[in-house]
Amino acid sequence: MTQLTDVRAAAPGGSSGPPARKPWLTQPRRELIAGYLFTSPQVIGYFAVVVVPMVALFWYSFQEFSALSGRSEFAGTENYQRLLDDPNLPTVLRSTGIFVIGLVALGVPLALFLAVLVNQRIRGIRVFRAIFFAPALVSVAAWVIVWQFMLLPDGAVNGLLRMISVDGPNWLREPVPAMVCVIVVQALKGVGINMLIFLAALQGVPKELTEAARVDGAGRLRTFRSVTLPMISPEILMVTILMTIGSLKVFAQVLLLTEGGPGYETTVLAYYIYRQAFGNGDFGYAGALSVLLFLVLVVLTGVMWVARKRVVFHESE
Amino acid sequence: MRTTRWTRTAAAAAAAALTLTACSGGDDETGTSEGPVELRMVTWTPNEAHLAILNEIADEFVAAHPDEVSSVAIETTPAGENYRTVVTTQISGGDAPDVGWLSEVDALDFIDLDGLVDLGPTVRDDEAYAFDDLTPSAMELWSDGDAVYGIPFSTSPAGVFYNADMFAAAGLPTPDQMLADGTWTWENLAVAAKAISDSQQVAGFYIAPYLNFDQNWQFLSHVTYAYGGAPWNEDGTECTFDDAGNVDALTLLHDMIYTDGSYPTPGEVVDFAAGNAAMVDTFISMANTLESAPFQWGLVPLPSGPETSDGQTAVIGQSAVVAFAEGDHPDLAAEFVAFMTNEENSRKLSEFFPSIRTPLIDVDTLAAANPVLTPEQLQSVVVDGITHGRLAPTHAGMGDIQTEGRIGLESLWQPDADVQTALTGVCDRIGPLLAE
Amino acid sequence: MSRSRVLQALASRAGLYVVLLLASALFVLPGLWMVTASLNSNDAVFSYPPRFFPVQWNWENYRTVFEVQPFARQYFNSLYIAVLATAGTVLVSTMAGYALARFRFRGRNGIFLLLISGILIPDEVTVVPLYRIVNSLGLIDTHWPLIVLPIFSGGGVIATFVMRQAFLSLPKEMEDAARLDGLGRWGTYWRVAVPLVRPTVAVVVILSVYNSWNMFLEPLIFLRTPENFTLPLVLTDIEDAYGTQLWNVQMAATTLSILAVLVVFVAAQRHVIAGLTAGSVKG
Repeated sequence: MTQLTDVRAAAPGGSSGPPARKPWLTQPRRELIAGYLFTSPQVIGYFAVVVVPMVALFWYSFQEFSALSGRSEFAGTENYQRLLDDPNLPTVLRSTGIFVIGLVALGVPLALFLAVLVNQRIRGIRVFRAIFFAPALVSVAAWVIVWQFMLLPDGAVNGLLRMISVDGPNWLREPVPAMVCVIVVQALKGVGINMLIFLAALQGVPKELTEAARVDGAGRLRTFRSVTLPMISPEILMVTILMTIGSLKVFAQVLLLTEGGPGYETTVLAYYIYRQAFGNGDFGYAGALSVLLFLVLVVLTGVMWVARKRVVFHESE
Repeated sequence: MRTTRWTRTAAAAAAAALTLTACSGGDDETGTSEGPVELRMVTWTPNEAHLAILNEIADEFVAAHPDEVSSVAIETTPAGENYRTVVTTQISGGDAPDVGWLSEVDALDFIDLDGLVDLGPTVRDDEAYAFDDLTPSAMELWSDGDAVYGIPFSTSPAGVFYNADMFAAAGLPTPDQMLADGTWTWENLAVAAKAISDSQQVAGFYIAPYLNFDQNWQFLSHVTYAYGGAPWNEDGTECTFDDAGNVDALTLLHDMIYTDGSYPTPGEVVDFAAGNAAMVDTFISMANTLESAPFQWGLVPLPSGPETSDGQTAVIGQSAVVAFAEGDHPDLAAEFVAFMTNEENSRKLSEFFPSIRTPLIDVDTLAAANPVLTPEQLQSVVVDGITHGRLAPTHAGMGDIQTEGRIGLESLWQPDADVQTALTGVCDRIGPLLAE
Repeated sequence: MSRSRVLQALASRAGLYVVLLLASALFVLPGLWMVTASLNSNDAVFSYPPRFFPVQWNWENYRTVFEVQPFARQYFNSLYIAVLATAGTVLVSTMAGYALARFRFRGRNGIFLLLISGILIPDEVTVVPLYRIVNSLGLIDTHWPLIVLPIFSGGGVIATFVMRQAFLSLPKEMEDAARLDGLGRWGTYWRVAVPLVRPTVAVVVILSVYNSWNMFLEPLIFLRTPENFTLPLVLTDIEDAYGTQLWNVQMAATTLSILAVLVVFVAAQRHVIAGLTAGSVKG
């Protein structure tokens, strides 16, 4: 609580007008002090738990690191050389790209669709909201185990498909279906969270606007597209960025659902890193891969950030 | 740039903090210890009955060494892949545990990198320890010349459980009868499996730890050993997955899956205990789930094959107690491992885990851990298994080898696969890893 | 005319229910299977074809959950860790987000970029250095790292980012008025600005609870005794003394882990949604 008093002491906003007593405590200085005080908890904590490990990680990437004996020695750029020579890496990067694009392309519209559905004022809607949200509360292991069972060649999913005379594939064993499963299972787990974010945004859209559009003769879809969608575009951007970053970090689901198979088809980068680090005890190479992942994320986030000006309808500053 | 100076300060601070954390590992605490120390043991059991026994042993060790040891903390992590993650993090985080459990799959990785304490001096010279009581074949993986890197505390043989009702309905001689007649071979197992799966719409046979056709293909050795096949040569330098023995053994399995339809295809799930398979090859602990099974069942050793010698077909799975070299107190850790695995404490542990001490490999002791098995089953499967069993293949760098092997085998588990070609493909994948 | 209107409304409402039901099937089926499995005997869990409604009623599976593990304790651990981590995240992220959005000071952009880059690091490779830090502070096998880490790393930084955006889109006039009325910077932040962004705070709360509730790698690394475990650790692996995996008990534990929170969610939903939309500043 001390910093709270400090803030007040440092920045007395008294109504007595401009302070005349200490010339050096100018307005910019006050802003500076207040700025650092307000951000200091986050920044100090961040240094301790993110920056330091990050630097350590970078350091690892230049080491030959054996996790099982705890010993390491300097290896120069050897780990980075390996990035170029690793025969599996192209497949891993391709799988990662497909996974991220697939997850975002499925997850964002699905969340929006569900949000629109549960934005209706009808009886029992609270139960439906809870149903869509529930998977977020299920542990990853349980969620995956249940799906694994439903996706067996003779499992519930193919059973349902058979009812409409479709012969389902061996979902987790064939390259394309396996990737579809990894994406869908992941998307369903987290969609409730994004649904709630969109739901809040939708409820924040003033009724007058949509009603005015309707009165002007616009159809439902048209109203949604040209009135509602622009209004909630900041949330769509936010969810898209969060999902992109989040999807690049997914590994437990892959481990439990497909072990990265068949081949390396569902081995996304985060899972590949996990395997190098803990399966092989090779933190050096895992470090180099992480630096690669980091750079990919920096670029992606940067692109989205720049693109926001075109996409987002309103944002001050 | 306005932020330059700021960023530089930040980077400097980070670097300082890094050196701090990098150097404050456990190494500086070694050397002559003053006063009693604390030992840590990592395990993967969350089971309270197991932990109670381990804690009891730990307390007795502390009582016996009051000047050296103040306490032994028994720690637990959830099982599976997670255990290795935890141990790896602790060791590379400079906080290595002193003692721990280790499964056969991880053994050679640790031994190769000098990650384990040589227990030889501690256990060999101590007469009370009776090192010679430890079954030699069961010690193979863990010893190298005079060096001893671990003492197995749990050694579980695999066997074939069969559904006697299904054999009766098909009018076939049971595996027990075949065993008595000397006809209990993999060929005949396949014949029986086909007959039952054809007539009763159940799976004929499956290897339980490989049901998912996943990374655990080392359990294919249950079949290939009987045909003289192993994935690599004796010293583990060359891939032999495509030699005649493996081709014969895996042709048999391939035919069972795709010609006979008596073995579940990849992705199919069957469960012997639920009554939808006639036979299963698995570890004996399965017996405890069969206590209330609504059918008659039996248990026999693995079948024999053309290359089975002396009738010994057993394959075992093992976990050992080890002392980690990076721990702060390697000598005390070695003593604790010896204490935990001496005859008295091995007897306590044998309530749950089959021991490799010859005085404890008898039907009466083993019955405690396997209350559901008959004395005959205990003798033929468990006693003989522990005494003569071979381990499933394992290798340093097993993680990568398992993955590459799984991927190589994906082309074998196709209806029209050519076994020889597919296995050559497996060698193309794992061969380079063996040479490393 | 009005009659056909009514009919049309009825039809569209019925259609809505059909769509809702179809959509929820994807979410409900796994749940039904899980509950069914939790009431089965262990060997019937994987019976084929899969069942979605219980035929056996082995309620003792639910009692076993509490016998094989100190489950109530672990449940409590997960709950209070989520609450504290969320409270900390809200406080820290609104403070930082507010400063980054409102104050003009040297280094502001540097701080922002630095923070953003931190969410781009995968957790599984930073756990080793983190382990060193937590260990050197003597906090292994305590809940401190699980409460504190999320506040400052990935989830917390995202929260700061989200809060910054919210404060940015807030009209400045209210705060200016508050300053003129004699409120200090802290007072303006806490009494005026934060209440105005309550919807976004609700988003941060949800994200933070979600992260904490599903956290797996950190508790795996930092916790060592069953009494200290959190739910995700327990739910992966429930075995009997002979090492047989008790799927039915595991599913019972999972059902329990969802049930209580779901009840809270349904009950509190009105407030959650209200919080999400209250004082909406759009338009």
